[in-house]
Amino acid sequence: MDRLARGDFVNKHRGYRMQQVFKRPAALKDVQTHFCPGCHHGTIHRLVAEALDEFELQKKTIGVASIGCSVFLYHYFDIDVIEAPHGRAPAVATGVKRARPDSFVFTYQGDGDLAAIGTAEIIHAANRGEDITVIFVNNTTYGMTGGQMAPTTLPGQKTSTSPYGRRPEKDGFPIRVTELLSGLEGVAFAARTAVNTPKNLMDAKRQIKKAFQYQVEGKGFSFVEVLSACPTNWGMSAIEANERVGHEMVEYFKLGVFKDTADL
Amino acid sequence: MRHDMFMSGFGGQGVLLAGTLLSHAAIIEGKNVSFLPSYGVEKRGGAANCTVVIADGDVGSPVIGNPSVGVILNQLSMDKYAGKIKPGGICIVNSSLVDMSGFSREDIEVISLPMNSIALKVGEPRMVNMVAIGAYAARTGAVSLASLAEALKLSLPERNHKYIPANIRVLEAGAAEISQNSELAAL
Repeated sequence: MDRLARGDFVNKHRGYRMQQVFKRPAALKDVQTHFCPGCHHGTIHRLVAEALDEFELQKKTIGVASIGCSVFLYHYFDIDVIEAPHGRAPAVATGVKRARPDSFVFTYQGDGDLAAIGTAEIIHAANRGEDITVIFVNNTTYGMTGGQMAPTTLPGQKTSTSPYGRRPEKDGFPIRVTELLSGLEGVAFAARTAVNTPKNLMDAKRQIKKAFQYQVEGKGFSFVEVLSACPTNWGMSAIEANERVGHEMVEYFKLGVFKDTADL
Repeated sequence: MRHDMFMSGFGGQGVLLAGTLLSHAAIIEGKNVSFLPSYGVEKRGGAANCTVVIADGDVGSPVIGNPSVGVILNQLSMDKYAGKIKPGGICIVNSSLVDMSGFSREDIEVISLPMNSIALKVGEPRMVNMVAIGAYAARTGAVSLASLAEALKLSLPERNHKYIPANIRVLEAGAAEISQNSELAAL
């Protein structure tokens, strides 16, 4: 007898039934993910899936997957997904949404994909105000390829290509993508969130939901940046990495809603 | 003299380390070797496999379509690669993680070892790969245990040299599984 059936059996005999109050979102497949211990992708995947469930979008969603540790999105989400070349997800999403305007289209990209090789695509999709939603996972590094310096790497941060730490005078300062995009007329909603504490996580859930609502109600381009931990490439334990998000990253990448044109 | 071996498991089992260890051992013995790794994109986990060719003369191709010996450490590898082992070849399989019930080939020799348990019994649950290589060396005679022990200094980074004695114990345990079954031990 499996665990759930056993619980049922016991409770029936005690005269009451257990009610399941928490389970895997329907938009997520029942598979084990490959993410490292302490990675925030799993959590962020869940928040996106919960939003898909809440708006009942599963059957009409076409996700656009990107390159990086996020690439396996198509294995984890139970939706139609198109895989885009590195950085091109916003361009692919533009084509998808314009060809199938009744579908719900989102991209899910890391900082290398979106802010490095994909800088042009995101700026122009945002500037055109495409009716898509972009989820941007920022862990200040190129994760899958071995922890190289990314446009979002913090000053002083040691990476495999900045072994002495990022030097702003030579390497520039990190790009604050949410603020950058907020300056574009075409952007309707832009927010930065994190999932390192229960409070931040609940706020991230709220903003992701709001971003989805923008598309569902046809109110324009929506964007949510989610600060994320990368214990493996930061050379930290899962706990230390989680702390770094709250202590270091939020200092430079401020949390908040930067644009909310429809004031939803 | 020529040996080729294909080893496959999941990322973290030490498949690539096993391959480099075998390669270094063969070099110590004065052989020519090719080592061809392949692994998935995941930072942790995923698939991992390698092909090692050892020869007195030229190695020729580092790519082997139908290996003489397949060392299979997990179910996915079994499903994918067991069929590629050439007829008359050997399949050394980790029965701790592989269900052999559906396997029907009669044209290869199957050596089924509970490698996870063997490693655990010696107190080193992480060294499943050493059980596999120890068994491979004992069965085929491709390299000696002594060469493998010596090769550990080359394959393991300095900071892990403190684990060499443990690795040797597990190599010996893997080899013992073969030599205990005297029919299997190489001449």
